[in-house]
Amino acid sequence: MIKIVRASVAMSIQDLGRPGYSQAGHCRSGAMDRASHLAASTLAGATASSATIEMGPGPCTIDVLAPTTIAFAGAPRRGAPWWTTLQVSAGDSFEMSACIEGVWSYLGLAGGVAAPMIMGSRSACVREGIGRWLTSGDSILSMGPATEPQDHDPLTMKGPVRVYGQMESSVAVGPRTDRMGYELKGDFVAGGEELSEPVAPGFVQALPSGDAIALMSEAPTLGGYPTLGIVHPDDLRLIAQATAGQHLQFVKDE
Amino acid sequence: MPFDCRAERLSPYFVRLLFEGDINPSLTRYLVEISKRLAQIEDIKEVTHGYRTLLVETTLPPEEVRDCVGRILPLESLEEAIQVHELEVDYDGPDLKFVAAHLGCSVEEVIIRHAGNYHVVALGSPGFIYLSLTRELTVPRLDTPRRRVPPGAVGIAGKQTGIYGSERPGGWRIIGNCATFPPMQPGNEVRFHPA
Repeated sequence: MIKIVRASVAMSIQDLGRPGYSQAGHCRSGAMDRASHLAASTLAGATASSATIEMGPGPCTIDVLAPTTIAFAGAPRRGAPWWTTLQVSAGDSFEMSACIEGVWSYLGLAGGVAAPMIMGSRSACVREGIGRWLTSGDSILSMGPATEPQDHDPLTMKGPVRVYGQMESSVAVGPRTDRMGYELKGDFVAGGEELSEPVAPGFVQALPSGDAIALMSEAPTLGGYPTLGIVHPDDLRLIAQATAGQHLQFVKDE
Repeated sequence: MPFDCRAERLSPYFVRLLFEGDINPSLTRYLVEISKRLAQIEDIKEVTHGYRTLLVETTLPPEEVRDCVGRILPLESLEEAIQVHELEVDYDGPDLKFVAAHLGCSVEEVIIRHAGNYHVVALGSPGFIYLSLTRELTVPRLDTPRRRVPPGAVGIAGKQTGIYGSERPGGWRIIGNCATFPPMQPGNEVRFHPA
């Protein structure tokens, strides 16, 4: 068992999300950086369907209340070993800095993080009233049983983003970013008004202002702005890990 | 197939089906039915319907997805009794004056044109109710979406209208507010009455 002494911004329990419920008006949700989330599970000894703790920007402190195995992955922070399996004991404490690079970090727990399964997923989606943001003082339990921890290579937080469509260029990330979408600053041609169309995480839509929005884990199920392109699902994490002002290189992959 | 469609690949992971036909409750019910049945196919991860389209998350070839649709026999529910929701709207939204100015008519005229009958096309996340198209009320969306739109807000965008079911960001022009609204399903009818 671990205790959150100081919660980061936008700290929540996440897994791979809840596909199959868009008809009922539920977004996919799930980890913003799926590969890092899976790495945290793998390193800590949890299955691919397990949940981890997603830590948003800003410092974060956790205390260990009972011996277990944990792992940190994703956007690295000072104050804890990263990308490695950690056997921890009661009294251990990790006082972590804000992210050194990237935005989203993951804390994996042996056996997976305990949380109620709602529509096939343990992911919080606060805007839909599913789960909640974690706060200072929350205790986190393991689901169990644990699996054998496996090594996992560190993942890069930066790189070219493969996209299908018409947006091959260098684009700066704007200040408006959350689990629903990331603003992309640019001079995109918006095109005409259209009927709202089904959309999904990875769709990039042009706003009339000339900027665009990359739809992320909590993408709406329908969107009305014209779609410029669709990001390769494995590269969506690179947008998620980009900070305001950072330039993303979009490359055509067709 | 009661409604013909063509299939196109959007990316290696998404296929879109475009259906012919007017936007009416029968088409909506057909799309809901097809979505549920397609979602049971192993190689299809997610299916989302819109006004005339289905977005299918799959690596299957577009023709194969279209063939799957052709093999689905729709249930008789397409013609079942329509559930009706009577909703009172306070037409006092922050964009009402903009809409009137944009259309070159009075605020009262906007209300007259908007009030009336629609059907629920789809449910959005989080808690958005997409309704069928307005008559003579076409307005552009906001250049930059609002960060927060309150629940119950009634908006228009392009030819569409809808209800914000929970607080969320949004780019629709807000012309009114429903104090209360019941849970709704695609295919249901909605009647807006000025409060």
